[in-house]
Amino acid sequence: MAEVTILSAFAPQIACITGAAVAIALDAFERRHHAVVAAVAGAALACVLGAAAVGRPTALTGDVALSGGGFSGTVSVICGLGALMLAASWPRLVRADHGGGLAALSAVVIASAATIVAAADILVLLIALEAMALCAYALVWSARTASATEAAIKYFIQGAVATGLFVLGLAIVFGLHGNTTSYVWIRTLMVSSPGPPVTTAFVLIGVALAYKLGAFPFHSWALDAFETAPPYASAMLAGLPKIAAIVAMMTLYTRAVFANVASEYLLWVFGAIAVASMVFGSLGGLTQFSYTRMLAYAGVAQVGYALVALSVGSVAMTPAAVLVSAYAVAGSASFLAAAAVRSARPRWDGSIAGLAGLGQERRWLSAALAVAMFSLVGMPLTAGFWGKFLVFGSAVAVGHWWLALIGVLASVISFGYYGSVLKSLYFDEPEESFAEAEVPGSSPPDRDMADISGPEESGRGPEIAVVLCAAVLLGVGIVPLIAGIEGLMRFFTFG
Amino acid sequence: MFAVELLILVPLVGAALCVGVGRLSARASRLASLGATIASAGVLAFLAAEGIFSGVALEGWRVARDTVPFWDLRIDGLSAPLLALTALTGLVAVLASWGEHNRSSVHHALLLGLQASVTGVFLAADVVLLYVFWEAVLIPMYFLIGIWGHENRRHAAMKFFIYTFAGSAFMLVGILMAVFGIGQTDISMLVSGRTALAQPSLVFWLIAIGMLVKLPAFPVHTWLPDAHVEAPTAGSILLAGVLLKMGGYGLLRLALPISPGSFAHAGIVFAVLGIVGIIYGAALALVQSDLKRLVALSSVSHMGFVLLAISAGTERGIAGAMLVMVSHGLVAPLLFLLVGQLYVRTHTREISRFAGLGVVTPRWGSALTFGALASLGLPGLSGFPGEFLSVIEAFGAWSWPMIPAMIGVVIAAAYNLRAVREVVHGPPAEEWRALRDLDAGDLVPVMLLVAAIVVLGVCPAIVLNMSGDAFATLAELIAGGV
Repeated sequence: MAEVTILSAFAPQIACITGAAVAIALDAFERRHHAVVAAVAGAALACVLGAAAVGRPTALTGDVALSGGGFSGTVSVICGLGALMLAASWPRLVRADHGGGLAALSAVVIASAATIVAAADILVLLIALEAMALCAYALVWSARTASATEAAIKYFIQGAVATGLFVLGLAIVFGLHGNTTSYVWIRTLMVSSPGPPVTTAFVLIGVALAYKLGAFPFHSWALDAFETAPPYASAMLAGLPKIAAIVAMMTLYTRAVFANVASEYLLWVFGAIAVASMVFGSLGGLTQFSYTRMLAYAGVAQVGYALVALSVGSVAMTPAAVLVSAYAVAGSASFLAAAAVRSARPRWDGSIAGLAGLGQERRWLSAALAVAMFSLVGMPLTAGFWGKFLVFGSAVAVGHWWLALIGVLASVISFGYYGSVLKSLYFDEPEESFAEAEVPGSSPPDRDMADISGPEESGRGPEIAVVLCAAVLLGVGIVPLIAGIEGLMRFFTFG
Repeated sequence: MFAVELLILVPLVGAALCVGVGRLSARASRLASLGATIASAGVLAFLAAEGIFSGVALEGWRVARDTVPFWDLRIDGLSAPLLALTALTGLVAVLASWGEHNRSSVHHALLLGLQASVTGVFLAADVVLLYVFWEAVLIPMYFLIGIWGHENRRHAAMKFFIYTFAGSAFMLVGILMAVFGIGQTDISMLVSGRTALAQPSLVFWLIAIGMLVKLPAFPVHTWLPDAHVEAPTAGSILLAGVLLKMGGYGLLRLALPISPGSFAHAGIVFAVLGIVGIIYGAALALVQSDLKRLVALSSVSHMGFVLLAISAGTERGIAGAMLVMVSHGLVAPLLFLLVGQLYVRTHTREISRFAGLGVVTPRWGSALTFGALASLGLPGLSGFPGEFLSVIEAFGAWSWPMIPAMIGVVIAAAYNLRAVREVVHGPPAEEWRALRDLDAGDLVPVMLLVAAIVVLGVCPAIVLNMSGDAFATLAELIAGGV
């Protein structure tokens, strides 16, 4: 019976991984279309299954899986967003070599992220993190340019170090108690353990997860990876893993393994990383010319906002999930927009200035991108506002008003670069070299380097997906004003 | 009462309509925006029958109370005059941009969006809703300056956004401290539960910083000249007419009631900032060579009077602040409108290039002279009662150190009359011999503002009747301390 209940608790993850498996099988027979359909269908089904379980109370099944309430809610967000990103890259995947395989890799990323959220066993967490990381390296590399290869290798090596640290931490935890890896048991045993090894494990595992998140000072892989990866891969990797990692960290540090021993460290360790990430990401973003590299820096700052919640403690878990989910939708949409821009302007050089005048050329895309930018800033009327409102509110509620003040001031600085995108879209006139239509028959400058990230043939898929994301951001931003914020919070309530 | 909601919904629907019919013709979208502003003025007239202009408080439509929605609108004495001002300046802004040809449907839609958000600020009875509208104001204004502004529009748009956004960042932390400290979001509940606040002075100053940036008070006023000069005429009209009033309104609605005890030390700070603003703004206006910049800097000076009046903390002082705000909300748009009309014809705003426009364009010249007189506070026009009250009350509260404020009044006369002398009087400049005077279409918005300025100047009791009770309540709060 226990096996059955564990399977039902992991139902969304199983649906997603089944889709991935079917996709790999179909890819072997060169059925790329069907492979992509299978991957998208698996993720979409997982989204529905997750949403269906939101109403149930949070439950721990077999000491391994957390489900119901906010755990199912975030799983549903991860799978839904993943399915949308996959569906948007459909035309590219169908044409690319091993497109079906790439779809399967993406589906594994989605499934692993969903598993990380639901994990209640530290070994399950480690395995899911590794599965996600391995697929992520491959997705970054799939651009097959020299710089993407370099970024993927950097990502891989740094990721391996992070895994090593995690395993060391795990070894300490395991060595202290020997016979269990489930959160609930470790939590009670941690209290009776000697201080130094517990602290060491706390730091090692925290550093490893901060690597995965891309928090300062463990962020350098993220800047290269997100800049050079194909936009579809960045869209997949920028948001989903962050939701997963933040929820997992909140669970580990404020509710489970370290919950009884961590309270005094939480503020200083994670508060310091939060401030450093917010400041570094916001200031670093200001000096960027490349659109995707700017977004990568912005991602570091966004991780900082989420870590503010971690430094507050378990009461801030719902705010953290709202914030990071809103970030994931807006961040993924803005990376995906790079793909849409490429299909609108084949000669786009990837710079922010190269977006000049797009507002009049592609109204829907530009308007949607503007909504995403405002959401990332945290402007009211978008989902991003509620995330920051709740997170900074939770910080203020426990007396850390200065942390909230640094956070909102970092948001102000961040308008420097998000606003520069708006400025290019709407205030600047298009430059000739970018605006001119592609001459039929001529090839873009470096065709061989542009396999999956190639300019043409993307169709309208990315644009439609970006507009959908913008609609979600606006809806989530506006509806709570009239209907109250409880509905939104209910989706992210970790009982 | 759903009519209160209509004040926000009508401009929003109008904005959507503008973009929708904009594909058919630019004229259709202009008419749609005009229709929407007239309709929202009509809603206000309907509400006047309910008594909102006689000090009656009126609540909006209520959502079921089992959840806690933020949507909660209320009109009372403090908001009624500013709502009327918003409706009027909204109408004037639409008329002023009648000749806009560059993406005119979007331009009008943004104007209406701006009107809706500012109206929302004045209507919100919930602090979260107030903040949402407060920030929402920035979005249309940012695009209005950035797309339709003058030469340095990109820089000015960014500066405007970041500067005022930084102000509201402090304000957000203050609001969060109030909301999470007291456990309420309704403003009246916050006020009644204010004793639960652990650090009332910190909350007060965090919120007040946001308001002072918006007002703008010296030394956080530097965004204003750039934004004003670069904004298109309609943008300047709304910026001067109603956006600056959000600062004064916010102080009276939120900062002071939540922490009236802070007034003990804030009063003197406000008085000093007010006086410095009055003199500094006026002195800068005196030496400007750009006519639009002159008007912009005069705003800093006028808003100094608002702060000075509030610093007295008395019922009549607050009344003076409201009168200055409403008056400035009429006079500054008139001047920006006239400068804009001149710029459309001459493509310059250099004072030194003009002379004798009173002869060449008598209607424009008379209107500018009228605006300048209203701006310097001529008795009988709208500027006088408010500035008079604010100086009197400040003198009552702070005694002789308030004398420098009078220097500001004198300089105001100097810069206004200098502008009139150089631009309107004297022998006409050769360059502008053939300048076209205002036609009937140009005169409609001008006359609307002129009429309002005269009415308010002759009968300031209009505003005082609307808000008398609100001022008394505020003054009691301040006198009560805590």
